Amino acid sequence: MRRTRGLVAAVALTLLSACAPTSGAAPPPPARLVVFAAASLSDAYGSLGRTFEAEHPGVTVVFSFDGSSTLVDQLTSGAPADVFASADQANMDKATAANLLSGAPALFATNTLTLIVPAGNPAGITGLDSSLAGKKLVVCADGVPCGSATTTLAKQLGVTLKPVSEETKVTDVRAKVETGQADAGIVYVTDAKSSGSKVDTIPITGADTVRNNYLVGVVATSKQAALASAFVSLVTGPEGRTALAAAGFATP
Amino acid sequence: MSTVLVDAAVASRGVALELAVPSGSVMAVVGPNGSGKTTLLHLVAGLLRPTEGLVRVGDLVLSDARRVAPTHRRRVALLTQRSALFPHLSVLDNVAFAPRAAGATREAARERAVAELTGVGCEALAGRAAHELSGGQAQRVAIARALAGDPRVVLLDEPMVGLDIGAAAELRGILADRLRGRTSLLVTHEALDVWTIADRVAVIGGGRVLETGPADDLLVRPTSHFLAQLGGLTLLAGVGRGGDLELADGRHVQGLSDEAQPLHEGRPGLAGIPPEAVSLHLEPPGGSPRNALPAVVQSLEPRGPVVRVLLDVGEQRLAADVTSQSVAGMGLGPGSAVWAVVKAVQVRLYGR
Amino acid sequence: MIRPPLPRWLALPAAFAAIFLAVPLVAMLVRVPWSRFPALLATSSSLDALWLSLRTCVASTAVCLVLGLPLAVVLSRSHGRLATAGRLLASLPMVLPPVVAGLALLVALGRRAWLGSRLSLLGVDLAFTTAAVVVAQTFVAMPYLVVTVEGALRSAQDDFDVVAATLGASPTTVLGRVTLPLAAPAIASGTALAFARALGEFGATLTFAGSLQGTTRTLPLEVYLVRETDTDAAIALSVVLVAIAVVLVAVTAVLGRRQQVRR
Repeated sequence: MRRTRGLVAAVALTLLSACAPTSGAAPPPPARLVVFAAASLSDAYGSLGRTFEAEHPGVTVVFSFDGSSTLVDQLTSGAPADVFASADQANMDKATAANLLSGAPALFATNTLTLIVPAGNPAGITGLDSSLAGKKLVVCADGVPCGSATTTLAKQLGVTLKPVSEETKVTDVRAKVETGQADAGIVYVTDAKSSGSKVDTIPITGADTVRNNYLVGVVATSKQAALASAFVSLVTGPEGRTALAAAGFATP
Repeated sequence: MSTVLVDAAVASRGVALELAVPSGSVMAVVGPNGSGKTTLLHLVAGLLRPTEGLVRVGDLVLSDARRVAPTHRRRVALLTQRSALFPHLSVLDNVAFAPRAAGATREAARERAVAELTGVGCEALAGRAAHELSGGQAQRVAIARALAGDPRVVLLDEPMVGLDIGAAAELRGILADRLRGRTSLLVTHEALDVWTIADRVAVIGGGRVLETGPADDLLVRPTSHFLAQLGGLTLLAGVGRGGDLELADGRHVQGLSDEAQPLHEGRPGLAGIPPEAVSLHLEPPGGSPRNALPAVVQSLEPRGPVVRVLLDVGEQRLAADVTSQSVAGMGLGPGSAVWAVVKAVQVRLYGR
Repeated sequence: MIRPPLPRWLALPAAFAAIFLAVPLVAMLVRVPWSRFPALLATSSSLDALWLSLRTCVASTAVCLVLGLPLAVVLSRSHGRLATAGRLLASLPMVLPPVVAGLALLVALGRRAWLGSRLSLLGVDLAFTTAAVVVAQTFVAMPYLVVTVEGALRSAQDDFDVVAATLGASPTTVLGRVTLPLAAPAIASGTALAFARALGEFGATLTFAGSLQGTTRTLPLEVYLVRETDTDAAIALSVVLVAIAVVLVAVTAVLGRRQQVRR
């Protein structure tokens, strides 16, 4: 019986510690800065988070990377966050309209589209041209940010795309090209960059006319507005620019 | 000709059976549980492969150690105590199953099924579902179903078990009627089944066929305790001496000598005694013509209104059925010394 | 007979569990903008997705029956280690996370994969086709049919097959006229389960087949996409999925009960 109780206590302790937010063994309760950021920012923001922690001892930056619309949904339903970074204007507008942010959001990066093909370009694609005829092109679905950008770009360039699949997530486009299921895909420059050697990049002439804006702001319900503002400053400052450029973003 | 010949061994079951069922005769198979009766049926049905020997019907070898003709090509019907009517088919289609499987048209098969159902008195049940039948009705339909396939051999594994007395009696009559002239093997524990349905009996014990013969002979003059018990008799063995049976301890048993198989002077013989003819007394009774044998009570076993008392009579077993009142009145228990008394006219003496 | 009562405290966690299961569904029903419901569903993309889902599910369920039934029958009569391994294998896709199932299909049947590349040479190119959706659905749905039917056949204790054989029925006749008809309730409920699973298939389709209106974008993928822009429409479509699921679960329950009665 006593053994059973011991076991129960041990299990309970394990569960409790598993539920604890972070490694909470440090003496004073450390400040936590919660950042909701678009998934495409994970590389750049990851390194910026480490920089921020180094500059603010005792502060831990916790990221939640997801699709911008998912993050807006979560903020709307009261998810606790201090900073929100969106991968497009539309979702940031939605957040602003719902009074989720304090102050105006800041534009801190832009992203452009590019064509990617599996490493070695087995289908011999040369660009958004006749080389795509009969080949398997995968793009983002119209309605999600990268898809809307793709549609706009195609219209501006006067080409008609015949994709075999319109994905909800840009990462799904990338994965299909990486695995060779698709012959080509249209993704953000940053996605192409993080695919590394698994894909070859074919720049689209005129792609820089369609820019996807990345905006960041302090969440209205944040209890650490000062700290959140400091993070936004870091992102929009010179260190932020360096990190974003390294990930393939253009900076204003 | 569909004479069934079994001369087969199944090593894993410790069974080596040798048996011939003449064409057109119904062979009752009796014996204690686990003696190999069902194994015998499964050998004939092709559900069991002999490790040695063969199973033959007529001139056709159905099984030997090398190859076993598949069950569906044997035309051997099997009826068990569970009627196993197909629940998804009507009674009519159950009975029409075998003709249909043999390639008959639906109409022809149903016509045949109606005829077979009429044969077992179930034509009115044709439209019912299997689960709407009583146990007795289901078994009758199962018989019709088995016979509709014109089997060369019919195997019946205790078809009456689990039925109430009335239904069992009815089924017994139907089987006696429908099996007449068909080569059949009927496993049973009931003497009545043997009397009414079978022509011949085979006694199986310990995985061997102990004896076979005409049903009447074996039941009237049983030579084994098993058959005696089945026929409602208890046996004492001895030798013929002056028209009596002399037991090993020199005591004589008087009775009526069987004319068909008389007891001979100095030759081994048997006394067949119905347990209900034996009465028990604490003192030796006077007067003749009565047999009075000293006995020791071995065990008591209540059987409804009577008590079956098992006695030791000079190292032999004798059973007596007495009322529970007299058991109580005499204060009988294991070890009690008594006199077993039986009228000579109720004892049948015969040679073995 | 009066059965000994259950401990009273059991009602508490039981009620909690029931509420836990009911709340999200009820919440969704409450959130549905019923006045706009027909309009939300009547878009061409929604109708295409619904129609595609129904077509592919019928096809994949048919494939499940044609291939899964024989597997179930064979497994139900098999013994030994090989049979155990086969049974495990047949039920594995049930417990695979959907995305894992998609990846597994991708590395097996993808354009670069061993089997997929050989199929391409034969002119069979699955990538981004409706056939790929059917393949993905079949892969995840067939186990439900196999496991249901195999279990029913295995637990059928009456030796109707033996009886049928003694009545002269060949193995094929036994299968067609006895074994399968007797398993009909299990086959029906297994089919309903497989259909439901195929209908809900998401991960494997997304990973393996892609998402294109009218070709590969089934109802769940449409919900996933629409959710990005219009939560109301996504909820409306989800309600349609739930309604179909409710019908299928009800059918399964009714058939399951009928099977019990027959026993």
